[in-house]
Amino acid sequence: MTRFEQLNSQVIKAHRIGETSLLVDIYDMLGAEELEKGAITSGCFLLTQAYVYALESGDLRASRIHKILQSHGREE
Amino acid sequence: MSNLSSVVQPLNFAKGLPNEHYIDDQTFIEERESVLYANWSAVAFAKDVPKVGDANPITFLEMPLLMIRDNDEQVRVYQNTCRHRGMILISEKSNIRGTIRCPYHSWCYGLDGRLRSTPHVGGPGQNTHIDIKRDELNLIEIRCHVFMDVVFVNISGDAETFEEVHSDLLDRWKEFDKPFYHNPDSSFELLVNSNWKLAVENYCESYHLPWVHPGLNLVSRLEDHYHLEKHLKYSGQGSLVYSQLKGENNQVFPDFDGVSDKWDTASEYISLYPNVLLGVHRDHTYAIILDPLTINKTRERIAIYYATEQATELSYSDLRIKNTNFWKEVFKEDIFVVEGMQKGRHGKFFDGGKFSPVMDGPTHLFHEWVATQINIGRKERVTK
Repeated sequence: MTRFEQLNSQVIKAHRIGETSLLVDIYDMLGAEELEKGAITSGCFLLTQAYVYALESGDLRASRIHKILQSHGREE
Repeated sequence: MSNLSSVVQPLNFAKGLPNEHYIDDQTFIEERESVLYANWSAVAFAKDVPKVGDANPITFLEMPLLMIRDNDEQVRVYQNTCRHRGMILISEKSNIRGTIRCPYHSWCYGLDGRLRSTPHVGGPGQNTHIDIKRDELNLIEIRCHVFMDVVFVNISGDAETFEEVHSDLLDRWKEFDKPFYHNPDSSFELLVNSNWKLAVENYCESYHLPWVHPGLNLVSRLEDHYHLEKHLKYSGQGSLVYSQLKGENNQVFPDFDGVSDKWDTASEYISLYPNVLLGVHRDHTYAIILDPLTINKTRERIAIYYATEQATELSYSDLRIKNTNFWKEVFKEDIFVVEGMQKGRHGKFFDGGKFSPVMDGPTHLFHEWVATQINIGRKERVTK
């Protein structure tokens, strides 16, 4: 199983069982990787996913992710 | 449109509300707007959201509401509908740790109702748009007020404040303005096949007690009761012979702190218009919320409260259950009456009924109040 397949299966499972902390982990990590590659849109897409689940669950990472999205003009 | 002119006459000459108010769907909708949405209606108990972040979806006359306990530990009520596509936000009782996330497109709202995020609203990864003004898209907050742990809402948003409307009762029962304590074993529900108003009307008066609650005839006779009548506010009955329930070894519930001697043997039962029935005693109170499911179906939600935390603990469990069962039996004894009056309203020659000039004053007051609210609504519609 490739890394992508592994992460994809983890994401699907985490969505199914509502494990928001893991969703934040994965989307946050993948978003950061995309931004590092210069892929701003897909990076911000993934970070938005992470941000929403962090907001929903009161995860303290929301504030950091929010700042990144703001710096790219993607959040208020 | 029903004719209400005879309903607002003085008691001796008045008739009750016409049949339409119990069996006609159009009139039910008119009452929903003019009586229940325009005033302070009871929709829930605050005990059902004990912790910060607790969220409890409620449906009141098909309107989806969301009761939450916010970060300041205050109860708030919102319309349970996302400002984006009108999706129901919360479907089950839950605890919100962060924000309320709409399950459809994940717009997120804080416990204060503020719209916090609109993911991808401007395209993938773009969460803003010049025409999405978040401060104009917060959750719609519904005015609410908590009294005796009952959560009241004013859906129209333009009633006078709860304190203004009910200042008389707040003053009358100020001795009970204290913390209440509840154990879940002291809540129950009854489903009644009748219009909600019939439960109010029956609760107001003591006239029926000798016949419907014969168990009271020797311990709390009809002449031991008095009317409680506040024009256009509330009505009910009081008793002068309340005696505390006793358990093993003469165990009784602790009293509310500092209540006056009057309450040693007194108890009072008030229909607070429109849809909540309250009872107070030296050692416990209760509230019955009448939830009008349809024109001829009402859910009665009952919660009994005690004066001290101790009374909600295990050592009082037997006495509590005895008390709950006592009230449950009393309230069940009323069911055949309200269901019978509902059926009776299909008698096409029934003219609203003739009140006893002596015994039916509290019930007439409620009818007059309902008619007054409907007349106000009709006048407003004409003006608009």
